[in-house]
Amino acid sequence: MKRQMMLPILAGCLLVLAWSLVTAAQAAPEATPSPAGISLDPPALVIDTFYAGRSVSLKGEVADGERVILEVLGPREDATFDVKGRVGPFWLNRGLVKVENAPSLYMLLLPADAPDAARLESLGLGMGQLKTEARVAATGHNADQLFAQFLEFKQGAGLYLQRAGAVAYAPAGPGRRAFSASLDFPSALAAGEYQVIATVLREGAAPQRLEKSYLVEDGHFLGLIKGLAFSHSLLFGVLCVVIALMAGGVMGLVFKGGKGGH
Amino acid sequence: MSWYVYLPIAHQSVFLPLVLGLGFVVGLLSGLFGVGGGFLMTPLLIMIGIPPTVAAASDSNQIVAASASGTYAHSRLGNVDFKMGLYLLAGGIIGGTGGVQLIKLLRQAGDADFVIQITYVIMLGVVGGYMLVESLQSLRAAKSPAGRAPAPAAVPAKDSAYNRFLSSLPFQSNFHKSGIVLSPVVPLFLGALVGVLAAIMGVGGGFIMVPVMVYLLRMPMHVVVGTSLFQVLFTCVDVTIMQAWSNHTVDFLLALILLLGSTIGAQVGAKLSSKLKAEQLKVLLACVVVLVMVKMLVGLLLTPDSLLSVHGGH
Repeated sequence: MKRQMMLPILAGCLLVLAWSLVTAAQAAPEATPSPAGISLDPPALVIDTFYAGRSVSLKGEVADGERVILEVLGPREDATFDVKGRVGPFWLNRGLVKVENAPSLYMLLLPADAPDAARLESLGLGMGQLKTEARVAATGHNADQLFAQFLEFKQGAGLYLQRAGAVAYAPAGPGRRAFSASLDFPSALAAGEYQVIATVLREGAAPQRLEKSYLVEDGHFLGLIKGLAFSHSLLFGVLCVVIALMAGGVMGLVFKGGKGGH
Repeated sequence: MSWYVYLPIAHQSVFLPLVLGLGFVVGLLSGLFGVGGGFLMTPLLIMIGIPPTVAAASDSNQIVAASASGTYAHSRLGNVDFKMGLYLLAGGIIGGTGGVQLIKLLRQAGDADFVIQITYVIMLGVVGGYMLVESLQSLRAAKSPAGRAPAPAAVPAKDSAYNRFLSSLPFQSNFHKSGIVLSPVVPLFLGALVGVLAAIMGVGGGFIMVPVMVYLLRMPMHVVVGTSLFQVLFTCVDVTIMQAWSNHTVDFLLALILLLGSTIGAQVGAKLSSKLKAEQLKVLLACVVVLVMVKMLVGLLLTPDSLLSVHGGH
């Protein structure tokens, strides 16, 4: 009798969890123009349960003849890596490297008529600039080589990218032209305040920078889990164990009740 | 609805059917062989982009479900020696605590990772190789005409030095489920030894415990599987709570998806294990262990794509 009652209760608990997952998806807010001259649609990115990367549309306007280079920077973070080295025939971890103050995400979107690499560097744009801002802490290793490895690692994970021809122009009235780009936020994305920077270049004039903060936030269900995991960690750990035991028990009962049960 | 699910602690989306499938495969191994599967699942999760620390901690959480499901299935079949499991568990806790301190000392001395990785490969190679050779010989013997002859009612145990040593130990006790008489000192000691190794290598230790039970405790294979799962369950409950509390690295959603796959896999594995012969089970487990060893060895020998990897995990 007890077992007969347990099965629907435990199955109900799992159903509630599944329902929470489905209802966690949220509608994105509507687009609003930015006072800085850049508008993003959606104006904030909500990471819901089924988030798998998202394109954000960026639009703005400049004068004819001006060129626009776009950057997106994630929150600055410190990351620790194992560094592999050769010991005889083996590649083994040979120490740690800490890369501090590097953005979690970096996108550099260039128009088709972008300046060359040397000009970009002189403007303080591109991944070379990140090196001047980040700190590499590693004893017994070459910091420059490690930072190059760090960039390769981030590019391999799809978190750092540089894309040419990604900023498009269109006419927008007398003496003006509109620019637009699609910011492809990757599936590996953490909530936080991101910076969108448009550098406007005009022949014979100093470059102008338009900056806008872009908020990436967790949906309700994910926020609830994170809140529990970080603010009530012991309770969270116990809950994880209880749910795992329940799931194991439910499956045991389901299989026992099944045709091929023991 | 998307086929992707975002993991709030790993900060990463994963393809739902892929993770469910991984859970099923590892659960199947768990139910078949009585191993937690951490030695296999954590590297697989890292391969699909989960940060190592999150992979290791969330894997422990899903093993709780798989081992609970497997223990339940095996206990209904009468395949769990709870008395032996408790002695091994007590030893494992003592050894695990000591092992954590040992690894701290090794790290201070430097080159700890070198010791760990090489120990891991050698352990897997020796255990897997020995099991494979021994179980293949037994299978061949069973197929030969002499092997097919009915076994005598009672075969006296070989009076080896090891057997004489076991008999000479104090507090001899009857372990009914396993059908052996043994001093509790033996499972306590061996449990502690496995605990030290498991702590050093950062895994649950099921894949070391199973050969220990088979070859050193001389337990029947089907009881070994159930009893190992019983022990793995408690180890992983402890690890999950400690990881969630101290490091905030348990990703509940990842564990939930994995455990849905693994609990089904564990039940299927338990059914399969009761249909397979002990020697067949040993051959399969030995193949899995040897494959993992080869994969690790290749990983150590090939030039890596990147010299950097996210710190943490197993």
